Amino acid sequence: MTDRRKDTVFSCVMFLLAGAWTWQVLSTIPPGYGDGDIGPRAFPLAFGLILLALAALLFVTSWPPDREDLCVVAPGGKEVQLSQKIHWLPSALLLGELVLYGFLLEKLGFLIATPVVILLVMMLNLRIRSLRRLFGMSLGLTLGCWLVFEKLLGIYLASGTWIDLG
Amino acid sequence: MELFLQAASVAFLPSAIGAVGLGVLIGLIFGSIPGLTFTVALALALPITFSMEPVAAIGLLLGTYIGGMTGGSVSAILLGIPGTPSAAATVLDGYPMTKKGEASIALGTAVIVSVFGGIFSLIVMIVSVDLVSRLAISFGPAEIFALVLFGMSTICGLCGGSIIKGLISGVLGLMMMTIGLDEIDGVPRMTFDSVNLLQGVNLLVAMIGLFAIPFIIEVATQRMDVAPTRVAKIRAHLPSLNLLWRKVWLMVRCSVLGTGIGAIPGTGGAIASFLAYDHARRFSKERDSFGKGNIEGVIAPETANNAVTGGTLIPLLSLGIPGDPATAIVLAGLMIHGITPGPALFMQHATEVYGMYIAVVIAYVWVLALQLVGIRFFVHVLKIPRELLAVAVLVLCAIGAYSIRNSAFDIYAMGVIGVLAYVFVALRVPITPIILGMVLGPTLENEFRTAMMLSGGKAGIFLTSPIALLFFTLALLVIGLQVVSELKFRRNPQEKVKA
Amino acid sequence: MKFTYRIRGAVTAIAAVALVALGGAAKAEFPEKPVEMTVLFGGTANTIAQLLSELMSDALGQPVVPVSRTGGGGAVGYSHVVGTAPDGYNIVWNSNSINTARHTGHVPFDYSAFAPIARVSIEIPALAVNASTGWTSLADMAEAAKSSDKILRVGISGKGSFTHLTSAALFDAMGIGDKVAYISYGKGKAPVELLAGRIDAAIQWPGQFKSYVEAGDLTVLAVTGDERVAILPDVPTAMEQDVDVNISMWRGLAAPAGTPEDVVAKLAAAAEEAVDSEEFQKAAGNIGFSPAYQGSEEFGKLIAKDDKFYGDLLKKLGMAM
Repeated sequence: MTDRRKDTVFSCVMFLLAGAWTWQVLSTIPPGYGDGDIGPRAFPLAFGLILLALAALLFVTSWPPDREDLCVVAPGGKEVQLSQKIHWLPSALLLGELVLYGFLLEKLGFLIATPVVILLVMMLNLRIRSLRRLFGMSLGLTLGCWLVFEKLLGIYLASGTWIDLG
Repeated sequence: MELFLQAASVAFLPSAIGAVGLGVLIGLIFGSIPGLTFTVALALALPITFSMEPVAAIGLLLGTYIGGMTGGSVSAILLGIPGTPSAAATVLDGYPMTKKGEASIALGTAVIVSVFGGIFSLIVMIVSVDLVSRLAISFGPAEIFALVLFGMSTICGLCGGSIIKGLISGVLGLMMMTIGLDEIDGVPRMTFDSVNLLQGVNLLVAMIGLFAIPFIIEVATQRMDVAPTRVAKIRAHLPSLNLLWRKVWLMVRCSVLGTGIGAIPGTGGAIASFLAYDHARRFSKERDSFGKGNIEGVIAPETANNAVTGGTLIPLLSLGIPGDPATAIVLAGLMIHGITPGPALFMQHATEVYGMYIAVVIAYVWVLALQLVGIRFFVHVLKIPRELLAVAVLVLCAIGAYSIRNSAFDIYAMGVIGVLAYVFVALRVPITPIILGMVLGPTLENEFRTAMMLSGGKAGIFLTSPIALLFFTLALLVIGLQVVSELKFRRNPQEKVKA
Repeated sequence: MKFTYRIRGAVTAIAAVALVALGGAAKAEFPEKPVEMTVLFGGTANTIAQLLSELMSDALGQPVVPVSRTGGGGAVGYSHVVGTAPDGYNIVWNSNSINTARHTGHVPFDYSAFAPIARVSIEIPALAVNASTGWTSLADMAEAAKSSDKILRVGISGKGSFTHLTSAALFDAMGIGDKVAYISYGKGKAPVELLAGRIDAAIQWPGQFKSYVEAGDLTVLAVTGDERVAILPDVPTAMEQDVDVNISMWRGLAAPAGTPEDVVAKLAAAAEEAVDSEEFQKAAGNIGFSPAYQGSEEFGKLIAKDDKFYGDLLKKLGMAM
């Protein structure tokens, strides 16, 4: 995809988001009480409308998507793609692991959830295969953080509701 | 003078100096670890002070505050992940300097200008606390709204290539902060009846997600695609004094700006550092090199955000008004030792006030000493293999995000926002405006609504105040200039193709 | 000191982990592990909670860990604690916010979802005006408001906040309820707004006004509790001025409903010991709240009584769900 085409897609997504936001604002947030109270609705509504306008503007300036891109021609006449490829799979994977981490933190506590998630991230995302590194990092980092933060500095780290190691 | 000597005899006790040093150390650690901030550090340090002598106790808290403020720049420069919102602007040029192999110069500069800004604001405070606090009183909702709007206008300078995309991301930041329970009317907004959304999106959580998650995903994808790009050779050079001396005028201007903004309750370090960054860029001879590792882009925000520390002490001490959550904890520390800030403070507790001034100076001496030694160790972070660093950053950020409100929701929020940020970066949509929108959004909205309530719904309140008019004019000027240069850029784009 | 105490804690914790790992410790007496105290708000609430938990740790022999779960006017923290096991290891540092959170519809449960442990402190709001108004009593203010057709601008923290409810009740009782407009301005800026003359009156905590009163900038007309407050001893209560209002904010401890009575009693005893300590009393004077220990049963009655009061008040203000 060219940068322009990406911009077109991006503007459409933003337009839809802004539309959904504005609709939701109108249907769930009450307007002000009058008498100078402009109410809780005004600002979210204004932001939604501004985003609608900006998305439309971006769509117009990026149209037509096949036209040659502005300022992507480097001095040598070579075409340069300024945007990068989006790696959807690793991003989704990391998001999944973070959601799992949040869930496990509440259920099993920091001391169990952390090494599990570290192992997952290192094996699936970072493709680390060395056993020494895998176990060294997951156990070392967990224990290190626990000792320094929970015990020395007194930051509360989650303890689980299913299993509680304290 | 007698009072001063009396205060000095208390503040220079080894226990007091040690307490300040301990505070600075705690602050530095929390500030420099991505995800943990000095607000958390202060909340943890507060109980330690319960059983201490007043001056030592306040010294510990002030040390934590100051250490945290300077520590925020460390991870901003080394990893591109700001340690505090006030250091978000430092990322813009600090991180590119690291990529060029100038990490230690950027770090050294940040420390030295921080100390400069801090001491400058302290002096301003000692000399003019009365005058400035009277000025601060004249900043009502309408004036603060105008100031924040002016701060918002700096968004133009953060947009990079496309001003429309920058504005989109700024508006997204503004939108995000309206989620949750509305403070003014007590109405839930965009919460879909979820208790978790009722607490809203936390600024710090979003900031961690915005900067740390893209870093981690990038490391992961680089391992799949190509060999990782190594940072250039690591040296522990410090900036030459000559270099800094040439920028002293910039430092003074940013200090004034930071002190002024700090003195106005309800604003704070992040606004000051963005305004200072924009100011430096606008008046720089090498405007094009901003965002690519211009040292002025480190000097300006770091001077300003530390000048804020002295500035916020003005309303804190003379009016009893904390400017941000961090100073609110300092206030609690003062009160628990029977020192009630307010107009009567300087009559009743003059010794303690002088003691605090001295403690601030001692804190900056500690900062200078600890940081200049620390830089030698900090830069070795860059030697850690990037994939291991990414794992450590992930865990620290999760701990940080969780520790703010002890809610797993914040880890989910960090993940979602972070993945969005990664997509944005890949699409060349700048993410710094999101932070700006999030920092300024709540103030912008609340002050506007309060001003309208005060005036009974007449918008004239914004036009009758000279202070507000001044800031509106400045904002218009900044936007106008940006539009002009954008149009020029569109007409002959070849000129800037070097990017 | 705190740090040695933490290291000692680390050693015992490691030992505890080892014990659990080795097949479960025998069921010992409460408390056999740290107690988690959920804190719903920052500011004064958090400061008192930190002090209280420190002192309760000494009394219980196990650490009481204050964990901040703020947001949603307390809804987030209450929802968390309601969902935990009723074993006394999860308690909440609660306040009148349990009543307001319920009646404004932010939480789907009410005070009966909690077992009251003990009331710990009360804070009494104070009404301040700029000294240049010349008003020295509630009567002066009521008279001035009635004789002028100007609307009084009254600063509150936010609609439905405690300061709003107190103001509404007070001005209604003074008969000037229709002469005021409420201005929400978020956190603790009341003194400055009063000083600058942008608002005419504000209800906040006495600690915020103390220094201004001493400097002669502000006048505090009344406190809304049934007793005067220690840090402003010259200020009469509203009732002394024949205005029938008695509102104060209590803070206390509660556990999920169903917590065994002996556990509640142990926690209550620890709270009482903490409140009676010299350190707590001294901090109370400095920060500006009153230590007010009350046992479980009475505390429960107080909450029930308040629940009706705030429910009615919010209904009158059109904010109840």
